[in-house]
Amino acid sequence: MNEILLKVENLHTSFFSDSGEVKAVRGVTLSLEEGKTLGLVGESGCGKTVTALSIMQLLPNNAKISPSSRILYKGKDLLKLSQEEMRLVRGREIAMIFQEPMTALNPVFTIGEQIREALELHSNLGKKKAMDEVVKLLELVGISEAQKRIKDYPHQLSGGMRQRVLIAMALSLNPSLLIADEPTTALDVTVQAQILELISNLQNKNKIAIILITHDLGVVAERVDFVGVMYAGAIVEYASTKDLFELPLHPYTKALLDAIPKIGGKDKKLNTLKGSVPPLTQLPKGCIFYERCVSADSKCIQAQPELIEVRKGHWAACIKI
Amino acid sequence: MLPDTRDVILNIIMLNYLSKKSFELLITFFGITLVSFFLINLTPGKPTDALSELNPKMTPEARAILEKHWGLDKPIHIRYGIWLKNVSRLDFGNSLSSDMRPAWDKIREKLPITILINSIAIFFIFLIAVPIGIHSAVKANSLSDKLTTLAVFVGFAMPTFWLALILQFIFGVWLNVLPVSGIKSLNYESLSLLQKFFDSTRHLCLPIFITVFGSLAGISRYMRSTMQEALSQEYIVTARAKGLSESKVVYKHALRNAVLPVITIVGLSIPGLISGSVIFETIFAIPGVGQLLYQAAMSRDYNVIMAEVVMVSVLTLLGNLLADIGYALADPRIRVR
Repeated sequence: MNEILLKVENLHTSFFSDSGEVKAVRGVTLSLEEGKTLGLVGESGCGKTVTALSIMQLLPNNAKISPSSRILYKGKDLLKLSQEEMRLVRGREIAMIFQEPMTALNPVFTIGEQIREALELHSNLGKKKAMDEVVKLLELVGISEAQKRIKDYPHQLSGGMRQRVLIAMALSLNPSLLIADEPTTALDVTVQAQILELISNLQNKNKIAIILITHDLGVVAERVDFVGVMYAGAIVEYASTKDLFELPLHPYTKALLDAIPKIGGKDKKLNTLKGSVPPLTQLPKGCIFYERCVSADSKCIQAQPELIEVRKGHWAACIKI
Repeated sequence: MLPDTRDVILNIIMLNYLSKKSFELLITFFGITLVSFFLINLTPGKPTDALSELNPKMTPEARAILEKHWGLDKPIHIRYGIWLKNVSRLDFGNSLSSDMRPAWDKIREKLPITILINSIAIFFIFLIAVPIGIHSAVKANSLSDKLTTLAVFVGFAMPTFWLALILQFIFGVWLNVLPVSGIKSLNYESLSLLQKFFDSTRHLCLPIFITVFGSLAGISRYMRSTMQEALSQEYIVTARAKGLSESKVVYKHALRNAVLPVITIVGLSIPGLISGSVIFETIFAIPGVGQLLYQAAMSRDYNVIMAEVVMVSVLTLLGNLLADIGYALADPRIRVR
């Protein structure tokens, strides 16, 4: 068994605004072994991205992580680091790629420069050597004519190319953990597959652990070792990918899997999950999924269900199981 | 596409753009002079009033001769046509005041001091306003942001002439440390070079301070908003995510984007400063084009007024053009289009 690389314990992140506290992440606990991939799935606004930004500590100013939370990376609590120490973790230890390659690159600097400055930051390469390294990195992520491309500005590249640039940037410092926040959502379907393939290849080559945030269960089934299903800021089910797809336990997971259109399926109408995620300002006393759950009954509104290990390595937060 | 072909195409695009822009500017210039000419001529009073209306011995015949001499008897559209024809030959006519010197000569000799004061003022405005704007954006809504905002708005809201008088009183009369008018002392000619420099500096302190203080708000607030906008962009999160220091994130990634729109303001702020010169040059008795314009307007010296209008509009339009070009040079997205 591999070493545990990242362990998030009881993470609570809230946003404070004039209209009150929004509990975006409520008690997320997860762990990730070296070189493995963890998928975080759920609807928009369920706290996947906020979890990622909490780990990176790149939250906006009005967000706050509760003091009881712990984010252990290689045994060290990231939340106890000073800003300067945390800065050294970013990029070098934990890197991140984002959903929108269109806006994630600075429009007024060449892509070569944007990768080089990350590289230069953590290594003592000279400017020229660093640029050679940039070319190598761009070739590694499958950008042809890299020597010419380094002088391009982001607007001169397609979305898929920009995402490759962001991946090259993230991998330039050889991080042990890569957080990919919906890396393919903004891309064409054909490009999506290429980018995911690229990430997998680089993962195998460099033994990088990955947290893959997505709402695409198809991606999860193919690329991920473990899955955390998030709903309204909390993990409602956690299992290996195989277990989750074979025997989903939580009603929410079941509903998500039901909502995938099947080729040759008998039903003409696609199963959908009715309603939407409740507002995170006023949380109910009982199960937060109660309103939308098909198997809910009066016991469900009495207390919030705990995440319990139902089978070995398979956790779910539902009292009906 | 080959790089050279790309360059050639870019050059053609740029030339095309410049010629189109120049044509636009020419039309605008024409419009400005047309409106100004009619407006000035519609104001009550004539340049001949000082000689005729105030002189009890003036006969109507003599007045008519005088007006005919200056061409004021012709209808206004004819006079505009004549004026435009002369201007196209760079002839702005003679001043209608008693010295009757060429209008352009009168302006030319007063131009250096106005340009000097305004250049120094623009330099200080940017030197002070840009850092204030950056600081206010980075520390948005902090106490220091609120205090600097208050300070720059006080400068913006305070009438220039009032502040000028107050400062003249405080520094010139009360503390008696700075001269209150002119640009040189009476004993200027007898001073050494260093003393001359020091003397001029002392004279320019108050006018420059007033110009700078009044203009800080616009640029610093503009800088603050463009900087805040830049800091909220996703590429800033990317820059932080790769472990860049906060100063690199702010001063490299955000600033480069935020300062682009501010470049435009440099060009656009020139005419505002010249019109500000009218007020402070009059109050501080500085012999610049602002004071000249004030005097010319008061005595309805049409030719000098129009020559100044031409000068300020050319400056404004040039400022616009330079702002466009500067923007294009600084922003790669525009450069390629």
